[in-house]
Amino acid sequence: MSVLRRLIPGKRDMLGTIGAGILLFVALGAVLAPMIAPYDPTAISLLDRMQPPMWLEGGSLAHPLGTDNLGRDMLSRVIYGSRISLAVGVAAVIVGAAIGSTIGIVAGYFGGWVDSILSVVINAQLSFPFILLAIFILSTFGGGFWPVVLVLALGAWVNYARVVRGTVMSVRTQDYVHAAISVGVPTLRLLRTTVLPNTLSPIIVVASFSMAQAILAEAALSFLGVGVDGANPSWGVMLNDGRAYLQTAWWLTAMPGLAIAITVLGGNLCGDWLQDRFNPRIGN
Amino acid sequence: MTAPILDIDDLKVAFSQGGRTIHAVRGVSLTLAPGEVVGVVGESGSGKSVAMMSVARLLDEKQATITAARLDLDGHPILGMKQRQLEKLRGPTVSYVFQDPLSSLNPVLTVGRQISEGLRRHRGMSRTEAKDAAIELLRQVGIPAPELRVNQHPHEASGGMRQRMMIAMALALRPKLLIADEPTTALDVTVQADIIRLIQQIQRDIGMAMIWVTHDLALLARVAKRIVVMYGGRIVEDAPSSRLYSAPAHPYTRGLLDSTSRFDVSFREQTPIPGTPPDPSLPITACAFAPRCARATDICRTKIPTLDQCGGGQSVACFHPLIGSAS
Amino acid sequence: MFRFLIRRLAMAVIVLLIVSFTTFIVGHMTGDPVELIAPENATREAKEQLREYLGLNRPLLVQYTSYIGNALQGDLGFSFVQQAAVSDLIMERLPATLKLAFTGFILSLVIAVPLGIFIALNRNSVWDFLATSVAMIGQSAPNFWIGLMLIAFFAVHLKILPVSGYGGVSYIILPAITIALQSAARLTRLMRASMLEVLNADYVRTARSKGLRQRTVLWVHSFRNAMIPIVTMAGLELAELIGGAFITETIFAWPGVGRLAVNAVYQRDFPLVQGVVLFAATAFVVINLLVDLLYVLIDPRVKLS
Repeated sequence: MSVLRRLIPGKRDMLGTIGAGILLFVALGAVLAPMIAPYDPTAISLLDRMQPPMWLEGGSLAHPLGTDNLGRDMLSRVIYGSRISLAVGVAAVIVGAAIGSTIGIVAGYFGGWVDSILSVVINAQLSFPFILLAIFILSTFGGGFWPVVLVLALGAWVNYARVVRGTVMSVRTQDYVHAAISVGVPTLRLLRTTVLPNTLSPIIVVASFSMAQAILAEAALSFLGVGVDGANPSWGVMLNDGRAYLQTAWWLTAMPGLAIAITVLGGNLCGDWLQDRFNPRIGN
Repeated sequence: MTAPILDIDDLKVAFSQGGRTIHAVRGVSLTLAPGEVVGVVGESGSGKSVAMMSVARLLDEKQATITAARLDLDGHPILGMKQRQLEKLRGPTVSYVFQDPLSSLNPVLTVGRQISEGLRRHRGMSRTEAKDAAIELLRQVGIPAPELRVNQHPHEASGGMRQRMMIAMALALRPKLLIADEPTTALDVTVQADIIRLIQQIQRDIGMAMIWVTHDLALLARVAKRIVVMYGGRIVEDAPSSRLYSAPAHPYTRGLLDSTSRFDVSFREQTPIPGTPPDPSLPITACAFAPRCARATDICRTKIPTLDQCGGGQSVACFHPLIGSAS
Repeated sequence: MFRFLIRRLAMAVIVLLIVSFTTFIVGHMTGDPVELIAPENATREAKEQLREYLGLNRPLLVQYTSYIGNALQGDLGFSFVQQAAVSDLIMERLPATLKLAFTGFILSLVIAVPLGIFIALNRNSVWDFLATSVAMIGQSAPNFWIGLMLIAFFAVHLKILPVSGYGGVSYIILPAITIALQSAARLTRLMRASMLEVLNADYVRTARSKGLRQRTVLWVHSFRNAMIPIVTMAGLELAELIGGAFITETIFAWPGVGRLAVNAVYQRDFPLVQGVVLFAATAFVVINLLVDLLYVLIDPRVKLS
């Protein structure tokens, strides 16, 4: 029966393709922003301020998503905003994966007290109110791109450590690893040749989800005023700016939020799909 | 001849999902007299478990489509039967012992609860009556200290004990037909023989009909008087076991026998059948075994062989059976 | 079973020690509290006196030990910004947080559990597709954004609910929905997956093979098993909510612990931040212990580990 069930392809493939398509679309938008954005996202035009999106009364094709309180084109701002949000997401994933995987491999491979310490630390980290800690650190030491990335990585590394640790532990008990140890293959080479390749697929799965989480968290931090500042605002910053005009111009809040939701959806769909493919049993 | 307990004619089961169709069973006919013991053998994917699960319509009918010219259980046509009627047959008429007792028993309910709920449902017993009956059943299947075991959960017992509990549960209502689907495969070799003996003994005591489903032809030699061989969702041979072992008619049966190490025959090198089982998602237009068969000719690749009598109570679905020719 | 609980308890204590120590260290790296408290024109001698008075001249470990000692007696320090005891400030805000947390949590369970079961039983139906899609999107949208959109629609556009603040029933509706939607999105998907897995389980097939009624198979044989992963997840959700729904409380100007903490961060009110972190972590740990206890009740296998 279970064999049968595995033979039948699910609709996951379709959803996974959609997810990957969304991410690709957003990534392309970020890379090609100067070419596809209709306006300079920072160009102020007070005459055009607070124009609603084109499908509402008073909107125009000139500004499909409307304009903000300074008359800047929302579509251009959302396109440019993807650069910060994606960059933060990608960087946080890379840093988090590097830290978490290394710790996970060490804990999983050597086991014993190293592993016990890791499980205590993971438990402690999970009980921390992460957002509070993040805004505390960022508001004390200052925000900016790298501080935000580091804080997000600090929140995400445990996820990598957990799955990598689990995979390494199961790989370590395999016969061929025992055999390799018994004939004296150096530890580092053993890690590189047998353990690392096996941890790759769970890492990719976690990366996909945690990319989505990082973009969400960046938005939350920016929203609370401790995110990435700069000439090109991230989606979270735009959301926070728009909030003041919620009563009169809801689209200032709606558009960047929608962009976040769509991008995060892409990451989550991809993650679901990859998890189905590799089935590394995340959690537990 | 008395009315059969099970009468299957041209049973087909297909699973569909995501636009693909898996033809698990492609036309199986099988009749079982009351008290008869039959072995069904085949590789995994041969459709044997799916066919037997269809007998009580246990398959998930959101995915599985069951069709048959006839599917009668104890005289009741079960296809098209309402859920409530079907429930009344499950337990007293047909009962199952599954492969893995650990996953087949509910981890959060006590053993006693799981044995007694069938009794309460079908016999209308009270809670205490059913519990006493469960203790008695546990005793019958050879479980020591049944008064204690009855309040325990499945994980607290060993693998062999769990399968005994499973058997007690399946036999609680003295079913007319017991279907045992690989009942010993998940068990230690040391307890396999005990479990087989236990099932055999109870079968004789109750006089129920029984179907052993297994991939292990050697096991069936000891328990079944008649053996049905399945391949690619169809029955390829149906014969009394003595005849099947001494003179298999289908090349596939021969192949199975050759790949089973047997000590009663000479020491023969184990020879697995070359090739792979047929793709269940493709329609069949010819003998499913032809690509793996040394005797296959053109007709085997263009026509589907039917299951025909070939003497001595033996039937075979083959254009070039091993009987009558030098083999 | 006893050993299992003892081990969990020991872990909880260690976790709280780590959390408190980390916050303590981070706090000390963030600057000299004396500079924050003392008037700008204070003399150096006056500052030293203040430092000595506050015990800030003692070794770090001594300060930490006395902090923990006080915390165990319910004294989480003093907020110089608010001129009040930290524990009093938290206690004062706790009822609002609990009110919001439980309302949102119960709402989320009431949506997620029946919906998850329903779409699992009717999988691949239109309802399944709709609910799964909405849950997926709900899980992907930032919840503060959902909160703002709810305000824009119900409070600004329709004008049927207040924008923010604390008061009658009407004030809790939007923040509770904001919390519940996100939590329900996660729980619905988990409930569906869990139920599907259980419905495909061998023991459910066994139950059906015994001729039990469909509702017995569903509620006795499937439901309890399917709830096992839900309990863990729901516990985590509740624990997070009780620690303070930081952003939701901020958006809706809800006078709870979360908003207290966010304001404390901006005001560099370190003792208060530290107190809230410790409080949130304790809530988290305690609720997880309760979940472990609940586990022993619903899953007999736990007794072994």
